[in-house]
This record gives sequence, structure tokens and C-alpha cells, in this order.
Amino acid sequence: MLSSIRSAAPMSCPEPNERSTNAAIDGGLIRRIADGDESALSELYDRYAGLLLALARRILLRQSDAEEVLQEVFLQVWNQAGRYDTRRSAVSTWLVLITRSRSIDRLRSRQVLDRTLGALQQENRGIHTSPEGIRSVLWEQRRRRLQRALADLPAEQRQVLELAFYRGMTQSEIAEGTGIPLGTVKTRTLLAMKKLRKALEDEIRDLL
Amino acid sequence: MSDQDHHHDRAIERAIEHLTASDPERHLALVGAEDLERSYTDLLALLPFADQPQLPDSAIKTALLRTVSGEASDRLGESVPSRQAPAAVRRSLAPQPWTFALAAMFGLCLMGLAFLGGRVSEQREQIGALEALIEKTGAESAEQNRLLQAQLQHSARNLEMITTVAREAYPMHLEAGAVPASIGAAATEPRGVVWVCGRHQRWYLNVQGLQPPPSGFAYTLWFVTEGGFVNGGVLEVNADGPSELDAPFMPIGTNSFQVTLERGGPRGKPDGRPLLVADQSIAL
Repeated sequence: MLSSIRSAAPMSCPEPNERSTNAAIDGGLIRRIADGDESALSELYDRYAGLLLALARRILLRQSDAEEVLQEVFLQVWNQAGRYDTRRSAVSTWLVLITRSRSIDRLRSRQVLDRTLGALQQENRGIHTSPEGIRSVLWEQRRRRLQRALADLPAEQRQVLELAFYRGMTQSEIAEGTGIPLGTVKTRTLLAMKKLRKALEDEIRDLL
Repeated sequence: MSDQDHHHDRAIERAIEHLTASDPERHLALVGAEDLERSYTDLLALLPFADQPQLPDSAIKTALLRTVSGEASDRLGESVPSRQAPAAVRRSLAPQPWTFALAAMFGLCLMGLAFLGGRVSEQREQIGALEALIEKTGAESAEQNRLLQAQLQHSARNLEMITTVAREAYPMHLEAGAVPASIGAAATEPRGVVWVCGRHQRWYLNVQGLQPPPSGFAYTLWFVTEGGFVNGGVLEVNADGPSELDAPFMPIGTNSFQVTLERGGPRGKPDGRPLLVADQSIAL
């Protein structure tokens, strides 16, 4: 009777073990990729390509560039899975940092920074968002929690984080670019990070 | 401020500082295994989860898995005939008397080599200009310096592509009957070259003479493979110089290239007519 009640329950709250299995699944896929298992790469791609493409596009503002970075990222994963160390970070952290790094490198090499506004106006490629890109209820809940946590930050604190993460700017460059004193930039960053960490404690724990 | 606050502040500062490390591997090595530093790094990497994921074009995954399959076969030591395709490029010319065919090929090679030689000089000039600009910029702006350095590395990589041994060049010619976007207005016909490294991996496309496409259209590069077309990216028209595209990998089984004029967003196969075609290689 218990099993039939569970199967009938609406999927509004994930089972506790669903969270811990995400990290385990990712770790298992990386190990299989390191052993040369192409199906594991395909599975990892299906899990993260939507997220990473959105990240690359947010940084690069051009769909074609973002798609190239996406392919490069997964080729790098294929070639370097054996070097990934679970103690250093979550798999998702590794993927996000690779994507961010490649995107920012490309951004700088193509001088997109100077044409950012023009690209925003001229970019006419269709952006395909899709509910199929959300892998599970847990991921959708994570997305909403992130959005709430970021929305709860004061705009000026959100700004310094976004400039550092999405534009690759150092704190000195942010200070210079915005006219805000460096000390203020540092303070806002510390406050933002601490507030986010408190709001997203569960999410961070799930990455372990 | 308590010791714990100070500890958190230091961990946050390190996580933010390490974002500037160009190599994520180095970044994560710097983070160390300490839980607090790791948690702040993981926190930063959560930021993109706030955005709606974007569905990638299926062609990206297809090309990725094809490339990976080729490398997996290489690991096993098996021969992969499709990756040696450049040595047996299909010829689009109909059978001709051998004397005429030989003369035509000789002429094409001469023209192609002259064009290729021009691209080498152009890349060297571009690199020289960048180096002079970097020297002049100096410490004026760290960000500008970094931009220029990145551009210099990009150009140096492209020059290496052009001048290294064991590479092939595919001259692109205007397809018979194709009309450039600005009818009658172009001073020169568009021409290009696709440089391909040995092992048929890294490639670089350089096109001269492209006119701005009509509104809503974009020039698109296509790899023509045994399995069909693979989208190679949009070619932006550059008023100041050549239009370029490059990437470290190309689809397995590519044996020719096309540039078409496409309407609208990304697609899995060309809808427009071929404008530029490269189907014959010159081994260099």
C-alpha cells in the first residue's frame, strides 16, 4: 500500500535521495568517459548541454560562437576526463568553469566587448529554449531558487558578481569600469557571496 | 570581525581571484581541497543555473560524437578511412581529355598558390601590426592589452595553420551561376581558402570579397561529409579585412566545403544555394 501511495503522489517534492544521486551520476559518467565510453559522453551532454549553451550565449551574445564553444567544451571533457579530481569541485562546477573560460577567451579575441550593444541589437538568431532542457523537477526547483536568491540581492551587489563571472572582469577592472571605489566593490562582493551562500546552502551541499 | 568571518572573507576573495585564472584546471588546483574555498567556488558555478537552459542544435551533438568516434578508433589502432578522406577528395570536374585537364589543374594550382601566398603575407602583416599596437598600448589599459594579446594569439594560431607542414588547402571558388549578395556592386568576386591541419582536425577559413548579406540572411559554412551536411558556423562580413572562421575540430568524413547564404536562424542543412565551394585540395 505504501508503494502505491508513493507512486500516486504528485512530484512536487523530490525524494531526498534524488539530490545525492545527481552528484553520484555525474561522477560515474566522468569515470566512464575517462575509460573511453562514448555513451557516457552522450549522456553527460544531454544533462548539461542546455545549461552550458545558455551560459556561453550569455557571455558571447552570438549563437554561432556559443555553439562552437559548446562543442569545444565537451571535446575537452572527452580528452581530460581522466584528470578530473572529484575532491576539487563538483562535475557541474568543472563544466561551468570550462565553458566560462572558453567563452571569455573567445569574447576577448573577437573584441566583442566593444560591439556588445551592436550585437544585442543585430543578433537575430532564434534562441531555442525548451522545457525538455530541464532534466528534472530538482533542476527546475534549483533554477527558481537561484533566481529568487539573485533577485533578493541588492542590484549593486548582483552587478559586481555578474561582471566578475560573466564578463571576466577583475575587481580592479570593475572599479575602473563602473567608477565605484575598489573597496566598495570588494565589500559588495563579500556581502553578495555570503548572502547567496546562506540562501543556497542546500544547493551547495548537494554538489558534494 | 570574528575569526570565522575573516576565514570566510579570505575564502571568498580567493574564489573571486581564481576566476581570472585562464585555465579552469589551474583554477581548481588553486582552490584546493579546503571545504570553504570549494563551497564558494561551487557557489559561483551555480550562477548559470538561474538561466533557462537552451536547446542546442542536434547537429552539434552529431558532430561531437562523430569526432569522438574517430578518436576512439584511433586509440584502438584501427584505421579510419573516412579521416583520410582529404587524400581522396571527390572531384567535381567531369572527365576531360588528359591534356586539357592537366593544363586546367596546373592553372588552378598557380592561381591557388598565388592566393595562398597572399594570405601568408596578410597574416604576417596582421601579427606585426598587433605586436606594434601592444607595444604602444603598454600598461595604459590592462584590459585592452589582454584583448590585443588574445587577438595576437588567435592570429598566430592561424598563421601557424597556414605555414605548418602536413596541411592541406582547399581553395574556394565561386559556384557557377551563383550571384554575390550585392549584384553587380562587388569590385572583386569573393574567394577563400580552407586550411586543414594534418589529421584532418584543426581548420581555418579565410574569405575575401564578401559583400554584406541582405537583412535577415547570413553566410554559413557547411562541411560536406559522407553522412550529409554539418553546419560549420556563420561567416561574419568584415569590412576591414577577411572574413574568418576556425575551430580545433572538424566533422569526420568531411571531403568538401560550401558557403551558402541562409535566411533566419541556425539550421541542420543548407537551404540556400552554394555560393563558394571548395572540393579540391592542395597538399602543402
